[in-house]
Amino acid sequence: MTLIEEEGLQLTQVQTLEGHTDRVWGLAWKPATGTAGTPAMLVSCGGDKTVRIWKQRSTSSTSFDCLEVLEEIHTRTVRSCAWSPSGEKLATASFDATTAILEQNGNEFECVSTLEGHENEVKSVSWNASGSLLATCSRDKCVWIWEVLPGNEFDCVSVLQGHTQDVKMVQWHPTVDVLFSCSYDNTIKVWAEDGDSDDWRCVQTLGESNSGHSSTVWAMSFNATGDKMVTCSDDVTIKVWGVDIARLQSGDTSASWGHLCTLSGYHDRTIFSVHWSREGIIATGAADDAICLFIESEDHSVDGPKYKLLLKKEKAHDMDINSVRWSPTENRLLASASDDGTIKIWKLASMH
Amino acid sequence: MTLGLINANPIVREKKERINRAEAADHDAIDPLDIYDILNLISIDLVHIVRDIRDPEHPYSLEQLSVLSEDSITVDHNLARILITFTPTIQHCSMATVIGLCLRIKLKDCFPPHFKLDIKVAPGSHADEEAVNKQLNDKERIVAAMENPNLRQLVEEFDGSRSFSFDRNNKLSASNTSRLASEIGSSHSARFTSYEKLMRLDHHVDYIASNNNRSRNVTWRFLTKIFSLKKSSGGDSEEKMSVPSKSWRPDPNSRWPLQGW
Repeated sequence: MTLIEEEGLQLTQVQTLEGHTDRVWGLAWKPATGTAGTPAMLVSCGGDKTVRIWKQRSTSSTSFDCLEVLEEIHTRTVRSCAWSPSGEKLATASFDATTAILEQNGNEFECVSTLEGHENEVKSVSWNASGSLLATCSRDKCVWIWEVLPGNEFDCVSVLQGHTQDVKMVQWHPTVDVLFSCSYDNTIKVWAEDGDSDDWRCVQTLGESNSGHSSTVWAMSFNATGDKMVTCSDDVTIKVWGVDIARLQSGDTSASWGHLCTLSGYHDRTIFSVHWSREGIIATGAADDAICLFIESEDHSVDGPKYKLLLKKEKAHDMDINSVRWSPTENRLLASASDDGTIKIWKLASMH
Repeated sequence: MTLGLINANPIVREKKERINRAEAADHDAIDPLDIYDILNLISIDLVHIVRDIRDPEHPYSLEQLSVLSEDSITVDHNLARILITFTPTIQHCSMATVIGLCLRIKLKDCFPPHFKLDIKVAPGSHADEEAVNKQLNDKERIVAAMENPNLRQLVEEFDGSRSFSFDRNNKLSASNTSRLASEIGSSHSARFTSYEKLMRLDHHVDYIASNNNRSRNVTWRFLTKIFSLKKSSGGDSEEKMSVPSKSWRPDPNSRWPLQGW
């Protein structure tokens, strides 16, 4: 685990990406870019129904240019976007109840498949670690799992029912094929494939009785090793959860997640997004226009790890922050998306 | 019903003083006090517009369904936050959420975009208060609801001069009653008529006369902006969602129902 040199760390704005004509809901860094001579690429999506691709001008530059604006993909707000692990495909989830799969052809992106099935707005899409499975969730309270087949075929493998309300986000575990979903019903559900019957089922629900959230859970993120998960909520708290990773990775579907720590008092409005960097820094973005960064505290209590605030960037945007994402390749580079229609790129660095 | 009148006097008297203070302020900057005053004017406006509307065929007027009280609006200027509470007289869940949505949409342009608006039902006024408040303040749900063509049409036609009613199947519908139509003609003139009615009331005349023209123009500009002066036409919705008919897809009306957003 990296020891983080905290002295004088500040979050400095590197660039503002403008172009969206409505709020920006989501963004995602393209895997395997921004390193080894490849300029970084970013996708964003929003209320203007567009999906925008941004590219770093050159590997030595900090500027991003808009590579493409995809307008015909969806007929309503595009809520979420996610690259496949290889970066070959891009999935976008929309309020028009469809999920589009896009592929890059030269300098252009084209829609190669449209996934239909949800009854109303699709809120989130996530690829598993190997890129063989895709998950989507919707206000229809269901989570759909799709198998990725050759020739851009997508077969629905399972429709998971269990949440009693609108499902806000789905996220696959970084190393094992276990799916997590969080919802307006204040719970987080863990879904795994039953070894015998190949049926997907809910193996755990993290609710208020397990020290869970007391209002809508908006997002989840895992640390690099996958033994910890962080969640954020409308109840203005951030919660960290842990699991026995050895058990989980050995295929024990009963390996259960337990509450480790609750962080409260840092945001005073709904926390919409949370993301755990590979280095171990937790970033949160909230409706109070602020970005907070947390790291593990050296004061280990007998109950487990504790986390503390590294810094709070007030007024990071003029309006609500909907998404925060760490770059997978460039260290300490953070992107944030806001209701103000902009995306900001930040660098966490010491001013010394 | 005298509730509106009971509220009106105290609000007006307070407002007199407040406007006088605001006159001294910088006229170019957006004065939060102006916003506050406008919001209070809206509450009077809504109360008076709907107070007289009664139709024997549709027993519930908007006033009876939802009341904005003098404590309705709280503005925190430092944090740029506004809290609006309304009291649904009828304890019907879908009604409260639709009314709250209408209020939010109508008030959206009332203040700068960085202001954060929370809309809640008055404490203790609704059986499912927590659930209603949660839905009314879930930004994602609100945005999705406004992209629902059925709901949007309803909200855009909401101008306080329509009565809402429940049919036999307890389904919400809005209507321009025949009595309304004959009395006020087109909805365009309805707003002017209603505002003039306000003007004619004695205490309002005193209040308006005691202010300079600038205040009145600012107020009027905001009001006309909110109750946008386009005729409510049932027929045209700006964007048609061209949904290819597929067997798996449920009926668009039930998929995006009016009440369940």
